[in-house]
Amino acid sequence: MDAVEHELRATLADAADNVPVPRCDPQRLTAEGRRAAHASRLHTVWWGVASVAAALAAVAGSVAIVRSTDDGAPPQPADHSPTSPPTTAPTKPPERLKLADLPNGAPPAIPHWIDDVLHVGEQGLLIRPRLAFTAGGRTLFMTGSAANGYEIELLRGLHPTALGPASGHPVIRPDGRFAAWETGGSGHLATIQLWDLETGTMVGSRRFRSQAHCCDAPSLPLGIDALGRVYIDDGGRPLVWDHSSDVLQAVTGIGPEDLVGAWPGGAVVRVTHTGGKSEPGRSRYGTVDAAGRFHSTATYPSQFGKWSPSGSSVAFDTPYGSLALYDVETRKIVRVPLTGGWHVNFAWETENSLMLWGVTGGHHRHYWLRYDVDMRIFEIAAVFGARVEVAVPESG
Amino acid sequence: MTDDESYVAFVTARWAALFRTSYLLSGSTGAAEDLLQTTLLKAYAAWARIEGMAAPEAYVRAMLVNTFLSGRRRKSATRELSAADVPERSVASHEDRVVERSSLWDRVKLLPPRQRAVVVLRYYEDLPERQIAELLGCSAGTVKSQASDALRTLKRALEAAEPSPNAGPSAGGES
Repeated sequence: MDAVEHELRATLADAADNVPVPRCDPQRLTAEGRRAAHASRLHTVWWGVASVAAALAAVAGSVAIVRSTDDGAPPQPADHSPTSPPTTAPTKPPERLKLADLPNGAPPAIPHWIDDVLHVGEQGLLIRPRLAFTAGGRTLFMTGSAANGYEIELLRGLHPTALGPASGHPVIRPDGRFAAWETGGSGHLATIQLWDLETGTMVGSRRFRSQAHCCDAPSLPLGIDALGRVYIDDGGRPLVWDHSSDVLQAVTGIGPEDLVGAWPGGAVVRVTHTGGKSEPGRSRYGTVDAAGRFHSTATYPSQFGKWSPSGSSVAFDTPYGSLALYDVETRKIVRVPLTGGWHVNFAWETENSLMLWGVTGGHHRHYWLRYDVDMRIFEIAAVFGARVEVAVPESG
Repeated sequence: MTDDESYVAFVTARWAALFRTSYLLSGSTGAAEDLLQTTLLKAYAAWARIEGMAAPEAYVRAMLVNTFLSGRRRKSATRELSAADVPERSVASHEDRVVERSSLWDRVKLLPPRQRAVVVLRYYEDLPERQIAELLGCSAGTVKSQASDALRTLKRALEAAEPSPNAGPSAGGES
Protein backbone atom coordinates (compact mmCIF):
# COMPACT_ATOMS: atom_id res chain seq x y z
CA MET A 1 0.00 0.00 0.00
CA ASP A 2 1.12 3.51 -0.76
CA ALA A 3 2.66 5.25 2.24
CA VAL A 4 0.20 8.12 2.01
CA GLU A 5 -2.72 5.72 1.96
CA HIS A 6 -1.34 3.93 4.98
CA GLU A 7 -0.81 7.19 6.83
CA LEU A 8 -4.23 8.43 5.80
CA ARG A 9 -5.92 5.33 7.15
CA ALA A 10 -4.10 5.70 10.47
CA THR A 11 -4.85 9.43 10.59
CA LEU A 12 -8.56 8.96 10.10
CA ALA A 13 -8.72 6.19 12.68
CA ASP A 14 -6.75 8.37 15.06
CA ALA A 15 -9.00 11.39 14.57
CA ALA A 16 -12.14 9.29 14.96
CA ASP A 17 -10.88 7.50 18.05
CA ASN A 18 -9.89 10.66 19.83
CA VAL A 19 -12.85 12.89 19.16
CA PRO A 20 -15.02 13.29 22.27
CA VAL A 21 -18.39 11.79 21.45
CA PRO A 22 -21.27 13.90 22.79
CA ARG A 23 -23.98 12.29 24.85
CA CYS A 24 -26.64 10.53 22.86
CA ASP A 25 -30.18 11.67 23.59
CA PRO A 26 -32.45 9.43 21.52
CA GLN A 27 -35.59 10.62 23.29
CA ARG A 28 -34.89 14.19 22.27
CA LEU A 29 -34.21 13.05 18.73
CA THR A 30 -37.47 11.15 18.72
CA ALA A 31 -39.33 14.22 19.90
CA GLU A 32 -37.58 16.39 17.33
CA GLY A 33 -38.28 13.78 14.68
CA ARG A 34 -41.94 13.97 15.47
CA ARG A 35 -41.82 17.71 15.28
CA ALA A 36 -40.05 17.57 11.96
CA ALA A 37 -42.43 14.94 10.65
CA HIS A 38 -45.29 17.07 11.70
CA ALA A 39 -43.82 20.21 10.27
CA SER A 40 -43.33 18.53 6.95
CA ARG A 41 -46.95 17.61 6.92
CA LEU A 42 -48.23 20.82 8.45
CA HIS A 43 -51.42 19.92 10.14
CA THR A 44 -51.09 16.22 9.77
CA VAL A 45 -50.72 14.51 13.09
CA TRP A 46 -48.71 11.42 13.64
CA TRP A 47 -49.75 9.06 16.35
CA GLY A 48 -47.20 7.71 18.72
CA VAL A 49 -47.39 5.45 21.72
CA ALA A 50 -47.79 6.88 25.12
CA SER A 51 -44.96 4.94 26.61
CA VAL A 52 -42.47 6.94 24.58
CA ALA A 53 -44.28 10.15 25.30
CA ALA A 54 -44.29 9.31 28.98
CA ALA A 55 -40.57 8.85 28.78
CA LEU A 56 -40.32 12.25 27.15
CA ALA A 57 -42.31 13.77 29.95
CA ALA A 58 -40.01 12.14 32.45
CA VAL A 59 -37.04 13.47 30.55
CA ALA A 60 -38.62 16.90 30.62
CA GLY A 61 -37.95 16.80 34.30
CA SER A 62 -41.25 15.75 35.76
CA VAL A 63 -42.50 19.26 35.40
CA ALA A 64 -45.17 20.02 37.93
CA ILE A 65 -48.17 21.76 36.55
CA VAL A 66 -48.61 24.50 39.07
CA ARG A 67 -48.81 28.23 38.90
CA SER A 68 -45.64 29.82 40.05
CA THR A 69 -47.65 31.51 42.79
CA ASP A 70 -49.77 28.41 43.28
CA ASP A 71 -52.78 30.56 44.04
CA GLY A 72 -55.19 28.40 42.11
CA ALA A 73 -56.31 31.25 39.91
CA PRO A 74 -57.91 30.42 36.56
CA PRO A 75 -55.81 30.53 33.40
CA GLN A 76 -54.70 33.98 32.45
CA PRO A 77 -55.61 35.64 29.17
CA ALA A 78 -52.97 35.45 26.53
CA ASP A 79 -50.51 38.25 26.18
CA HIS A 80 -51.83 40.75 23.64
CA SER A 81 -49.47 43.52 24.49
CA PRO A 82 -49.14 45.81 21.48
CA THR A 83 -45.54 46.35 22.43
CA SER A 84 -44.76 42.68 21.87
CA PRO A 85 -42.63 42.25 18.80
CA PRO A 86 -45.02 40.96 16.13
CA THR A 87 -43.02 38.12 14.70
CA THR A 88 -40.52 37.32 17.39
CA ALA A 89 -40.64 34.31 19.65
CA PRO A 90 -41.90 35.08 23.14
CA THR A 91 -38.90 35.51 25.36
CA LYS A 92 -40.40 34.74 28.76
CA PRO A 93 -42.05 31.55 29.89
CA PRO A 94 -45.77 31.97 30.51
CA GLU A 95 -47.42 31.59 33.86
CA ARG A 96 -48.08 28.07 34.99
CA LEU A 97 -51.43 26.46 35.41
CA LYS A 98 -52.90 24.12 37.94
CA LEU A 99 -54.78 21.29 36.28
CA ALA A 100 -57.09 20.88 39.24
CA ASP A 101 -58.48 24.33 38.54
CA LEU A 102 -59.62 23.50 35.04
CA PRO A 103 -63.23 22.61 34.22
CA ASN A 104 -64.13 19.41 32.41
CA GLY A 105 -65.18 19.66 28.79
CA ALA A 106 -66.38 17.44 25.94
CA PRO A 107 -64.28 14.41 24.96
CA PRO A 108 -61.69 15.09 22.27
CA ALA A 109 -62.93 14.94 18.70
CA ILE A 110 -59.50 13.69 17.67
CA PRO A 111 -59.43 9.89 17.86
CA HIS A 112 -57.15 8.21 20.36
CA TRP A 113 -56.45 4.71 21.57
CA ILE A 114 -56.81 3.38 25.08
CA ASP A 115 -55.43 -0.13 25.47
CA ASP A 116 -55.82 -0.82 21.76
CA VAL A 117 -59.39 0.41 21.63
CA LEU A 118 -59.85 3.34 19.29
CA HIS A 119 -62.06 6.02 20.76
CA VAL A 120 -63.82 8.51 18.56
CA GLY A 121 -65.73 10.82 20.83
CA GLU A 122 -67.37 8.44 23.29
CA GLN A 123 -67.45 5.41 21.01
CA GLY A 124 -64.84 2.67 20.90
CA LEU A 125 -63.50 0.23 18.31
CA LEU A 126 -60.85 -2.46 18.68
CA ILE A 127 -58.29 -1.43 16.10
CA ARG A 128 -54.61 -0.61 16.17
CA PRO A 129 -53.09 0.52 12.89
CA ARG A 130 -49.40 1.08 12.44
CA LEU A 131 -49.71 4.84 12.07
CA ALA A 132 -52.53 7.33 11.90
CA PHE A 133 -52.71 10.86 10.64
CA THR A 134 -55.45 13.35 11.29
CA ALA A 135 -56.28 16.88 10.28
CA GLY A 136 -59.39 18.94 9.84
CA GLY A 137 -61.55 16.25 11.42
CA ARG A 138 -60.42 13.46 9.08
CA THR A 139 -58.19 10.56 10.01
CA LEU A 140 -56.11 8.30 7.80
CA PHE A 141 -54.61 5.01 8.92
CA MET A 142 -51.49 3.49 7.53
CA THR A 143 -51.45 -0.28 7.77
CA GLY A 144 -49.07 -2.91 6.45
CA SER A 145 -45.31 -3.05 6.63
CA ALA A 146 -42.20 -2.01 4.79
CA ALA A 147 -41.78 -5.54 3.48
CA ASN A 148 -45.31 -6.05 2.22
CA GLY A 149 -46.24 -2.48 1.42
CA TYR A 150 -48.53 0.00 3.11
CA GLU A 151 -52.20 0.65 2.69
CA ILE A 152 -54.00 3.91 3.43
CA GLU A 153 -57.41 3.71 5.06
CA LEU A 154 -59.86 6.51 5.73
CA LEU A 155 -61.75 6.47 9.00
CA ARG A 156 -65.45 7.19 8.51
CA GLY A 157 -67.08 7.28 11.89
CA LEU A 158 -65.74 4.07 13.34
CA HIS A 159 -65.34 2.33 9.99
CA PRO A 160 -61.99 2.32 8.20
CA THR A 161 -62.31 2.28 4.40
CA ALA A 162 -59.36 1.17 2.27
CA LEU A 163 -58.25 3.85 -0.18
CA GLY A 164 -55.11 2.47 -1.78
CA PRO A 165 -51.45 1.49 -1.48
CA ALA A 166 -48.75 3.89 -0.35
CA SER A 167 -45.00 3.87 -0.11
CA GLY A 168 -44.73 6.76 2.33
CA HIS A 169 -46.66 8.79 4.86
CA PRO A 170 -49.64 10.78 3.65
CA VAL A 171 -50.08 14.51 4.05
CA ILE A 172 -53.52 15.92 4.82
CA ARG A 173 -54.53 19.49 4.04
CA PRO A 174 -55.22 21.35 7.32
CA ASP A 175 -58.94 21.55 6.54
CA GLY A 176 -59.06 17.78 6.04
CA ARG A 177 -60.45 17.90 2.51
CA PHE A 178 -57.54 16.49 0.51
CA ALA A 179 -54.64 14.15 1.14
CA ALA A 180 -51.66 13.14 -0.95
CA TRP A 181 -49.09 10.38 -0.73
CA GLU A 182 -46.50 8.60 -2.77
CA THR A 183 -47.34 5.22 -4.17
CA GLY A 184 -43.85 4.37 -5.29
CA GLY A 185 -42.69 3.40 -8.70
CA SER A 186 -39.94 1.58 -10.44
CA GLY A 187 -36.38 2.78 -10.76
CA HIS A 188 -36.31 6.56 -10.64
CA LEU A 189 -40.03 6.91 -11.31
CA ALA A 190 -42.21 8.13 -8.48
CA THR A 191 -45.97 8.54 -8.34
CA ILE A 192 -47.89 11.02 -6.22
CA GLN A 193 -51.63 10.64 -5.76
CA LEU A 194 -54.13 13.25 -4.59
CA TRP A 195 -57.29 12.07 -2.85
CA ASP A 196 -60.53 13.82 -1.98
CA LEU A 197 -61.28 12.68 1.56
CA GLU A 198 -64.83 13.99 1.42
CA THR A 199 -65.77 11.56 -1.32
CA GLY A 200 -63.03 9.01 -0.73
CA THR A 201 -61.96 9.16 -4.37
CA MET A 202 -58.65 9.76 -6.10
CA VAL A 203 -58.72 13.05 -7.98
CA GLY A 204 -55.33 12.87 -9.62
CA SER A 205 -52.16 10.89 -10.03
CA ARG A 206 -48.83 12.08 -11.35
CA ARG A 207 -45.87 9.96 -12.33
CA PHE A 208 -42.54 11.69 -12.65
CA ARG A 209 -38.85 11.06 -12.85
CA SER A 210 -37.61 11.46 -9.32
CA GLN A 211 -34.36 13.07 -8.43
CA ALA A 212 -34.43 11.47 -5.01
CA HIS A 213 -31.21 9.63 -4.53
CA CYS A 214 -31.08 6.09 -3.28
CA CYS A 215 -30.26 7.26 0.20
CA ASP A 216 -31.95 10.65 0.33
CA ALA A 217 -35.35 10.97 1.90
CA PRO A 218 -37.94 9.67 -0.57
CA SER A 219 -40.10 11.97 -2.71
CA LEU A 220 -42.47 13.27 -0.11
CA PRO A 221 -45.61 15.31 -0.52
CA LEU A 222 -45.22 18.00 2.13
CA GLY A 223 -48.43 19.98 1.85
CA ILE A 224 -51.48 20.94 -0.17
CA ASP A 225 -52.62 24.53 -0.66
CA ALA A 226 -56.13 25.96 -1.07
CA LEU A 227 -55.98 25.42 -4.85
CA GLY A 228 -55.26 21.75 -4.33
CA ARG A 229 -51.67 22.09 -5.49
CA VAL A 230 -49.37 19.53 -3.92
CA TYR A 231 -45.92 20.59 -2.73
CA ILE A 232 -43.31 17.85 -2.98
CA ASP A 233 -39.79 17.45 -1.69
CA ASP A 234 -38.10 15.32 -4.31
CA GLY A 235 -34.77 14.51 -2.70
CA GLY A 236 -34.19 18.16 -1.87
CA ARG A 237 -35.73 19.50 -5.08
CA PRO A 238 -38.91 21.52 -4.32
CA LEU A 239 -41.76 20.74 -6.72
CA VAL A 240 -45.37 21.82 -7.05
CA TRP A 241 -47.97 19.71 -8.83
CA ASP A 242 -51.22 21.27 -10.01
CA HIS A 243 -53.50 18.30 -10.60
CA SER A 244 -56.13 20.39 -12.45
CA SER A 245 -53.69 21.17 -15.27
CA ASP A 246 -51.42 18.22 -14.49
CA VAL A 247 -48.44 20.56 -14.48
CA LEU A 248 -45.51 19.52 -12.31
CA GLN A 249 -42.79 22.11 -12.00
CA ALA A 250 -40.01 23.28 -9.74
CA VAL A 251 -40.75 25.86 -7.07
CA THR A 252 -38.29 28.64 -7.78
CA GLY A 253 -37.13 31.48 -5.60
CA ILE A 254 -36.31 29.20 -2.67
CA GLY A 255 -33.25 27.17 -1.82
CA PRO A 256 -32.96 23.44 -2.31
CA GLU A 257 -34.24 21.53 0.72
CA ASP A 258 -35.94 24.66 2.07
CA LEU A 259 -39.52 23.61 1.35
CA VAL A 260 -41.23 22.50 4.54
CA GLY A 261 -44.89 22.43 3.60
CA ALA A 262 -47.89 24.41 2.50
CA TRP A 263 -50.45 26.83 3.84
CA PRO A 264 -53.71 27.80 2.11
CA GLY A 265 -51.97 30.58 0.17
CA GLY A 266 -49.06 28.56 -1.15
CA ALA A 267 -45.78 27.24 0.18
CA VAL A 268 -43.95 27.39 3.50
CA VAL A 269 -40.16 27.42 3.44
CA ARG A 270 -37.59 27.40 6.16
CA VAL A 271 -35.51 30.49 6.69
CA THR A 272 -31.87 29.58 6.55
CA HIS A 273 -30.55 29.02 10.01
CA THR A 274 -28.05 31.72 10.85
CA GLY A 275 -28.00 31.85 14.63
CA GLY A 276 -26.90 29.60 17.41
CA LYS A 277 -28.17 26.15 18.14
CA SER A 278 -30.76 27.45 20.55
CA GLU A 279 -32.41 29.61 17.91
CA PRO A 280 -35.83 28.15 17.16
CA GLY A 281 -35.59 28.97 13.48
CA ARG A 282 -38.12 30.71 11.30
CA SER A 283 -40.46 29.83 8.48
CA ARG A 284 -41.44 32.04 5.58
CA TYR A 285 -44.83 31.57 4.00
CA GLY A 286 -45.82 32.99 0.66
CA THR A 287 -47.68 32.56 -2.58
CA VAL A 288 -46.57 30.49 -5.54
CA ASP A 289 -47.52 31.84 -8.97
CA ALA A 290 -48.50 29.85 -12.05
CA ALA A 291 -44.88 29.67 -13.13
CA GLY A 292 -43.92 28.12 -9.79
CA ARG A 293 -42.21 31.24 -8.44
CA PHE A 294 -42.37 31.74 -4.66
CA HIS A 295 -43.32 35.23 -3.43
CA SER A 296 -42.74 35.81 0.26
CA THR A 297 -45.58 37.09 2.43
CA ALA A 298 -44.17 37.04 5.97
CA THR A 299 -42.36 34.89 8.52
CA TYR A 300 -43.08 33.37 11.91
CA PRO A 301 -40.51 32.25 14.47
CA SER A 302 -40.64 28.48 14.17
CA GLN A 303 -39.84 25.84 11.62
CA PHE A 304 -42.45 23.51 13.05
CA GLY A 305 -45.67 25.50 13.09
CA LYS A 306 -49.03 23.84 12.64
CA TRP A 307 -51.61 25.71 10.62
CA SER A 308 -55.20 25.93 11.77
CA PRO A 309 -57.80 24.35 9.43
CA SER A 310 -58.62 27.64 7.69
CA GLY A 311 -55.04 28.87 7.75
CA SER A 312 -55.83 31.86 9.94
CA SER A 313 -53.16 31.05 12.50
CA VAL A 314 -50.14 28.93 13.22
CA ALA A 315 -49.43 27.23 16.54
CA PHE A 316 -45.86 26.50 17.52
CA ASP A 317 -43.63 25.64 20.44
CA THR A 318 -41.50 28.36 21.94
CA PRO A 319 -37.97 27.74 23.16
CA TYR A 320 -39.43 27.29 26.64
CA GLY A 321 -41.64 24.43 25.55
CA SER A 322 -44.79 26.49 25.89
CA LEU A 323 -47.10 27.27 23.01
CA ALA A 324 -47.63 30.42 21.00
CA LEU A 325 -50.02 31.34 18.22
CA TYR A 326 -49.17 33.47 15.22
CA ASP A 327 -52.12 35.34 13.76
CA VAL A 328 -51.80 35.56 9.99
CA GLU A 329 -54.06 38.62 9.68
CA THR A 330 -52.54 40.78 12.39
CA ARG A 331 -49.11 39.14 12.19
CA LYS A 332 -48.96 39.17 15.95
CA ILE A 333 -47.97 36.43 18.33
CA VAL A 334 -50.11 35.39 21.26
CA ARG A 335 -48.57 33.38 24.01
CA VAL A 336 -50.61 30.46 25.33
CA PRO A 337 -50.45 30.54 29.13
CA LEU A 338 -49.50 26.94 29.67
CA THR A 339 -46.65 25.69 31.76
CA GLY A 340 -43.52 25.29 29.73
CA GLY A 341 -42.32 21.79 29.03
CA TRP A 342 -45.51 20.08 30.09
CA HIS A 343 -47.21 19.11 26.89
CA VAL A 344 -45.77 16.45 24.64
CA ASN A 345 -47.61 17.51 21.55
CA PHE A 346 -50.59 19.43 20.29
CA ALA A 347 -53.02 19.47 17.39
CA TRP A 348 -55.81 21.61 16.04
CA GLU A 349 -59.17 20.06 16.85
CA THR A 350 -61.22 22.77 15.13
CA GLU A 351 -60.51 26.27 13.91
CA ASN A 352 -61.07 27.55 17.43
CA SER A 353 -59.73 24.79 19.60
CA LEU A 354 -56.26 23.51 20.06
CA MET A 355 -55.76 20.16 21.79
CA LEU A 356 -52.71 19.58 23.94
CA TRP A 357 -51.64 16.22 25.18
CA GLY A 358 -49.17 15.60 27.96
CA VAL A 359 -48.23 13.45 30.90
CA THR A 360 -47.86 14.79 34.40
CA GLY A 361 -44.59 14.01 36.04
CA GLY A 362 -45.84 13.21 39.52
CA HIS A 363 -48.76 10.89 38.85
CA HIS A 364 -48.05 9.97 35.24
CA ARG A 365 -51.59 10.72 34.24
CA HIS A 366 -52.25 11.43 30.60
CA TYR A 367 -54.20 14.60 29.90
CA TRP A 368 -55.99 15.94 26.90
CA LEU A 369 -56.46 19.68 27.36
CA ARG A 370 -58.55 21.85 25.09
CA TYR A 371 -57.51 25.47 24.59
CA ASP A 372 -60.21 27.74 23.28
CA VAL A 373 -58.35 30.13 21.06
CA ASP A 374 -61.08 32.80 21.09
CA MET A 375 -61.94 32.66 24.79
CA ARG A 376 -58.35 31.89 25.78
CA ILE A 377 -59.36 29.35 28.38
CA PHE A 378 -58.49 25.73 29.03
CA GLU A 379 -60.64 22.76 29.88
CA ILE A 380 -59.91 19.10 30.46
CA ALA A 381 -61.13 16.94 27.58
CA ALA A 382 -59.88 13.61 28.93
CA VAL A 383 -57.72 12.13 31.69
CA PHE A 384 -56.21 8.66 31.59
CA GLY A 385 -54.56 6.84 34.43
CA ALA A 386 -51.04 5.60 34.47
CA ARG A 387 -51.93 1.94 33.97
CA VAL A 388 -53.46 2.18 30.54
CA GLU A 389 -51.57 2.40 27.31
CA VAL A 390 -52.70 5.47 25.47
CA ALA A 391 -51.90 6.28 21.88
CA VAL A 392 -52.53 9.90 21.14
CA PRO A 393 -51.98 12.42 18.40
CA GLU A 394 -48.29 13.08 18.19
CA SER A 395 -46.81 16.08 16.59
CA GLY A 396 -44.80 18.24 18.88
CA MET B 1 -41.31 -3.38 19.40
CA THR B 2 -42.84 -0.15 18.09
CA ASP B 3 -41.17 2.01 15.45
CA ASP B 4 -40.15 4.49 18.12
CA GLU B 5 -38.61 1.85 20.33
CA SER B 6 -36.75 0.33 17.44
CA TYR B 7 -35.51 3.78 16.39
CA VAL B 8 -34.37 4.62 19.92
CA ALA B 9 -32.58 1.28 20.18
CA PHE B 10 -30.82 1.89 16.87
CA VAL B 11 -29.74 5.43 17.74
CA THR B 12 -28.53 4.40 21.18
CA ALA B 13 -26.47 1.55 19.78
CA ARG B 14 -25.00 3.31 16.77
CA TRP B 15 -24.69 6.92 17.93
CA ALA B 16 -20.95 6.85 18.71
CA ALA B 17 -19.97 5.10 15.48
CA LEU B 18 -22.11 7.39 13.36
CA PHE B 19 -20.81 10.43 15.19
CA ARG B 20 -17.22 9.47 14.38
CA THR B 21 -18.02 9.20 10.70
CA SER B 22 -19.89 12.49 10.89
CA TYR B 23 -16.85 14.09 12.52
CA LEU B 24 -14.52 12.86 9.80
CA LEU B 25 -16.85 14.25 7.16
CA SER B 26 -17.56 17.60 8.72
CA GLY B 27 -14.24 18.25 10.44
CA SER B 28 -15.49 19.74 13.71
CA THR B 29 -17.44 18.38 16.64
CA GLY B 30 -20.19 21.01 16.45
CA ALA B 31 -20.76 20.51 12.75
CA ALA B 32 -20.61 16.75 13.24
CA GLU B 33 -23.34 16.85 15.84
CA ASP B 34 -25.52 19.03 13.63
CA LEU B 35 -24.95 16.77 10.64
CA LEU B 36 -25.71 13.61 12.56
CA GLN B 37 -28.82 15.04 14.16
CA THR B 38 -30.11 16.24 10.81
CA THR B 39 -29.49 12.80 9.36
CA LEU B 40 -31.15 10.99 12.23
CA LEU B 41 -34.18 13.25 11.97
CA LYS B 42 -34.46 12.34 8.31
CA ALA B 43 -34.07 8.71 9.26
CA TYR B 44 -36.82 9.05 11.83
CA ALA B 45 -39.22 10.30 9.16
CA ALA B 46 -38.51 7.24 7.04
CA TRP B 47 -37.91 4.77 9.86
CA ALA B 48 -40.87 2.56 9.03
CA ARG B 49 -39.16 1.89 5.72
CA ILE B 50 -35.56 1.85 6.93
CA GLU B 51 -36.08 -0.63 9.74
CA GLY B 52 -37.43 -3.12 7.27
CA MET B 53 -34.22 -3.04 5.25
CA ALA B 54 -31.54 -5.68 5.38
CA ALA B 55 -28.91 -3.17 6.56
CA PRO B 56 -30.45 -0.14 8.23
CA GLU B 57 -27.12 1.17 9.48
CA ALA B 58 -25.57 1.15 6.03
CA TYR B 59 -28.55 3.07 4.75
CA VAL B 60 -28.36 5.66 7.54
CA ARG B 61 -24.63 5.99 6.95
CA ALA B 62 -25.35 6.66 3.30
CA MET B 63 -27.92 9.26 4.32
CA LEU B 64 -25.26 10.86 6.49
CA VAL B 65 -22.89 11.22 3.56
CA ASN B 66 -25.60 12.55 1.27
CA THR B 67 -26.80 14.99 3.89
CA PHE B 68 -23.23 16.17 4.28
CA LEU B 69 -22.84 16.65 0.55
CA SER B 70 -26.21 18.28 0.00
CA GLY B 71 -25.59 20.57 2.97
CA ARG B 72 -22.33 21.64 1.40
CA ARG B 73 -24.03 22.23 -1.94
CA ARG B 74 -26.64 24.32 -0.26
CA LYS B 75 -24.14 26.42 1.62
CA SER B 76 -22.16 26.94 -1.51
CA ALA B 77 -25.28 27.97 -3.43
CA THR B 78 -26.29 30.55 -0.87
CA ARG B 79 -22.74 31.71 -0.23
CA GLU B 80 -23.38 31.20 3.41
CA LEU B 81 -20.42 30.80 5.69
CA SER B 82 -20.39 29.32 9.10
CA ALA B 83 -17.76 28.52 11.64
CA ALA B 84 -17.98 24.91 10.56
CA ASP B 85 -16.64 25.90 7.16
CA VAL B 86 -13.46 27.27 8.60
CA PRO B 87 -10.85 24.55 8.83
CA GLU B 88 -10.01 23.95 12.45
CA ARG B 89 -6.57 23.59 13.78
CA SER B 90 -5.98 20.33 15.54
CA VAL B 91 -8.03 20.12 18.69
CA ALA B 92 -6.41 20.06 22.09
CA SER B 93 -6.98 16.36 22.61
CA HIS B 94 -4.94 15.65 19.51
CA GLU B 95 -2.10 18.03 19.99
CA ASP B 96 0.15 15.60 21.77
CA ARG B 97 -0.30 12.94 19.19
CA VAL B 98 1.84 12.36 16.19
CA VAL B 99 2.42 15.74 14.59
CA GLU B 100 2.38 14.37 11.07
CA ARG B 101 -1.02 12.79 11.57
CA SER B 102 -2.40 15.97 13.00
CA SER B 103 -1.04 17.81 10.04
CA LEU B 104 -2.50 15.27 7.63
CA TRP B 105 -5.88 15.48 9.34
CA ASP B 106 -5.81 19.24 8.89
CA ARG B 107 -5.13 18.67 5.22
CA VAL B 108 -7.98 16.18 4.94
CA LYS B 109 -10.31 18.84 6.28
CA LEU B 110 -9.26 21.14 3.48
CA LEU B 111 -10.23 18.66 0.76
CA PRO B 112 -13.33 19.46 -1.31
CA PRO B 113 -16.41 17.80 0.25
CA ARG B 114 -16.82 15.09 -2.35
CA GLN B 115 -13.18 14.11 -2.20
CA ARG B 116 -13.35 14.09 1.58
CA ALA B 117 -16.42 11.87 1.47
CA VAL B 118 -14.62 9.44 -0.83
CA VAL B 119 -11.57 9.45 1.44
CA VAL B 120 -13.64 8.77 4.56
CA LEU B 121 -15.65 6.01 2.90
CA ARG B 122 -12.61 4.41 1.34
CA TYR B 123 -10.03 4.70 4.11
CA TYR B 124 -12.12 4.84 7.25
CA GLU B 125 -15.22 2.87 6.38
CA ASP B 126 -13.23 0.50 4.14
CA LEU B 127 -15.93 0.43 1.51
CA PRO B 128 -15.08 -0.88 -1.95
CA GLU B 129 -15.12 1.61 -4.82
CA ARG B 130 -18.22 0.05 -6.35
CA GLN B 131 -20.20 0.55 -3.14
CA ILE B 132 -18.96 4.11 -2.75
CA ALA B 133 -20.03 4.81 -6.32
CA GLU B 134 -23.53 3.49 -5.63
CA LEU B 135 -23.73 5.52 -2.49
CA LEU B 136 -22.61 8.75 -4.11
CA GLY B 137 -24.57 8.17 -7.30
CA CYS B 138 -21.56 8.25 -9.58
CA SER B 139 -19.38 5.80 -11.49
CA ALA B 140 -16.61 3.72 -9.95
CA GLY B 141 -14.24 5.58 -12.25
CA THR B 142 -15.26 8.88 -10.70
CA VAL B 143 -14.67 7.47 -7.23
CA LYS B 144 -11.25 6.30 -8.32
CA SER B 145 -10.33 9.68 -9.78
CA GLN B 146 -11.67 11.56 -6.73
CA ALA B 147 -9.61 9.33 -4.43
CA SER B 148 -6.60 9.72 -6.63
CA ASP B 149 -6.94 13.52 -6.69
CA ALA B 150 -7.33 13.57 -2.92
CA LEU B 151 -4.27 11.41 -2.37
CA ARG B 152 -2.23 13.55 -4.75
CA THR B 153 -3.28 16.69 -2.90
CA LEU B 154 -2.45 15.18 0.46
CA LYS B 155 0.86 13.85 -0.71
CA ARG B 156 1.81 17.21 -2.16
CA ALA B 157 0.79 18.98 1.01
CA LEU B 158 2.77 16.61 3.17
CA GLU B 159 5.83 16.98 1.00
CA ALA B 160 5.54 20.72 1.11
CA ALA B 161 5.27 20.62 4.89
CA GLU B 162 8.32 18.41 5.33
CA PRO B 163 11.69 20.08 5.34
CA SER B 164 13.40 18.95 2.16
CA PRO B 165 16.80 17.30 2.63
CA ASN B 166 18.00 19.49 -0.23
CA ALA B 167 16.51 22.60 1.21
CA GLY B 168 18.92 25.42 1.58
CA PRO B 169 19.95 28.66 0.05
CA SER B 170 19.13 29.12 -3.60
CA ALA B 171 21.70 28.39 -6.19
CA GLY B 172 22.60 32.04 -6.48
CA GLY B 173 23.31 32.19 -2.80
CA GLU B 174 25.68 29.28 -2.69
CA SER B 175 29.03 30.12 -1.54
